[in-house]
Amino acid sequence: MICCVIGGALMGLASAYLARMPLLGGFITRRQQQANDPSTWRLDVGDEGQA
Amino acid sequence: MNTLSALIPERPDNLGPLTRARLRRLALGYAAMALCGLLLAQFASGTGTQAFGLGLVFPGGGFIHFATGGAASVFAHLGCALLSLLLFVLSLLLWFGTGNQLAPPVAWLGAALVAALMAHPQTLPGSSLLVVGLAALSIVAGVRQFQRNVAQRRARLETRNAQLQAWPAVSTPRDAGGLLPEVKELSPDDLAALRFALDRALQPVDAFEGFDIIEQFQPSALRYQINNLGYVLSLANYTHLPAMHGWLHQAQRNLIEKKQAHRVWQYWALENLWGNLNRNPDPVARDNVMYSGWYAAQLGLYEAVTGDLRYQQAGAITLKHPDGRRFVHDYPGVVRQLVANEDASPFCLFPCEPNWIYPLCNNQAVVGIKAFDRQHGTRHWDAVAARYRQHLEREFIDVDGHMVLLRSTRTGFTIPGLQSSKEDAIFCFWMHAVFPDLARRLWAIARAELFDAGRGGLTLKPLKPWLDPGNYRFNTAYALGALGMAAAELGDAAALDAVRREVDALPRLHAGGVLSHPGCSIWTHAFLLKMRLGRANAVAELVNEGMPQPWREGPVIADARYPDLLVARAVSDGTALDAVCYPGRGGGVTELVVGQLRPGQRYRLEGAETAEGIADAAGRLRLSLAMEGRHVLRVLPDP
Repeated sequence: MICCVIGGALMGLASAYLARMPLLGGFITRRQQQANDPSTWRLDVGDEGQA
Repeated sequence: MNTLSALIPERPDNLGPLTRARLRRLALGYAAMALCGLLLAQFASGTGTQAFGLGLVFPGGGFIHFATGGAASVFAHLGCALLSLLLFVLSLLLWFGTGNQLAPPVAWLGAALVAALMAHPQTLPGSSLLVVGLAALSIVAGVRQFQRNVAQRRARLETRNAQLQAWPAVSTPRDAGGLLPEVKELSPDDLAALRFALDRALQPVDAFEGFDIIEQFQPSALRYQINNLGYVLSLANYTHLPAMHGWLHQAQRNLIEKKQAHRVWQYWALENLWGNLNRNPDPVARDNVMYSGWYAAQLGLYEAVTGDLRYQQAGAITLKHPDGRRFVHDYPGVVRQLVANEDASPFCLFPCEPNWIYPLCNNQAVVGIKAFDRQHGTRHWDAVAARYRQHLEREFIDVDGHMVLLRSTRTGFTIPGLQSSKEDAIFCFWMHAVFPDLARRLWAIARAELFDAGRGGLTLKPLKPWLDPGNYRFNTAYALGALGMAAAELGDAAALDAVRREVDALPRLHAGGVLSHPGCSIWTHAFLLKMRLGRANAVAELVNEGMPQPWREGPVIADARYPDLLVARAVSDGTALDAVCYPGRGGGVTELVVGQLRPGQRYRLEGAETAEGIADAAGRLRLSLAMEGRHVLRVLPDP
């Protein structure tokens, strides 16, 4: 019985995992979406500029 | 143009001797484990032990032993087997991505142990046959795929060698006198693009604004961005701005210091622990050529282009751990460690992540070693060069001439399908300073594969979007940058023109005086900058010959405010300074200091607010420029 429960849960997890492949790619994509595009950043040189 | 490079040599074997030996060892190890597993499955009395045995034969195989009884039980145990297999695949990814050598055996043996703990009384008849069949099928499929790949690559070799036109060594463009390399002026676009690197380098050392912050294990890590920006600035200093010190030297030093930040090297504590079972977090002590090798190249180029020897001093590179420990290094020590690692490695090339050797990172180490040798008269590289070349050719160049991007020292495995001429182009750029014949051969292959010679001249075949390793997005800019920088270094003007036409069509953002390409990583921006700043033999000559004496000793712009005074060209012939400047924040008057003048000498100041001036006792002269746009400045000794 316990094996049925564990096995069923694992099967469910496996299906969920397969539906979201690649997991690592999904993680990275989420990180990308959260971050601003760093290529648009510009140095704030103030009024005096950098020495 | 002179020496022609050879065509791709036809090698008798498909794999190098060390790679074959590693694969043979792996096969024997697996065969012994599987045999033990089968013996347990057949002769052990407990069903748990039998399942453990089958679990040794194939990842998750132990669960198949219990896939019997009702449909629910069959599905549950097959689900466990499938999940074990997925976990094993994930562990392989972790092994590749972070050098975690514990992950695959833990995933495999862990699944076998879990199956053993189930120890059901009922077992599937013929489970051994099923598991052995699965294992055999996987092995046969893998071997057949390898054979198919090799056959395709051998066929490609024949086609390539039949069509390949050797790419010659190209002479360095010279100035009017013919003695010194020509120093061209940066176009306004190129200058704006260079500001992308300067902006990031000139922020406070502990700030990382404008960098890609994703993860610190693989290519999007900060360390590669820092190195790449450092290389870009050294290249700019050499090819266009040899007489620019001031903010250009400061920016390079900032990047060298940035690399010492704990957040940049803290990944190594984990990698060394789970990859080498070693608790030392010092990123220079062992392996990790992706840190130390790239750093050595950055230090070497900085030293070559500036003549600044401060990183020779003991303790000049001190890595401070938050727990109070300090790992004290310097450039000579880093070079000695790189050589020691090469001596200790059977492949001569040594790993980045534990057990994974990347030839590109090792090439960076060689650039750092060679630059050091030239500057200090040591012969580290001479002692290792022949062995390095032998192993590079045997173990890391494929039968079709492509570079093998990585190889496992423990298993001999590589990841198939990663090789391409676009990746080879990166090797072309850097390998030109180390093995110019190999660099030219790689370029000849890339040129034949990726360019079309039509009536209208050379054009680039359409590129498919490629993985930008700096941010894991797909674009064509990364490959364009790689091809462009290689074309520049190898002196292929036609190919460079073809690539630049494509680069000009990329989405671009011109804001705040800075040119950037939205969505592209710092890696890609750095590659595009190397294309913009490069010229024939630039890297090869900077590493192997260094700065010509008149550039080292003549007048320079010693100090100026960034971005008030931007410089598109600055060069000296040993006695006079010749510069082209732009105002970075609208027109107006700005000051600068010219240095390395003869103390007490009167100078004519063309383009300055005052017509002449006398250098002080330190050989410096402060002057003002009133600029509205492009502005030529000449500082000449007044006889």
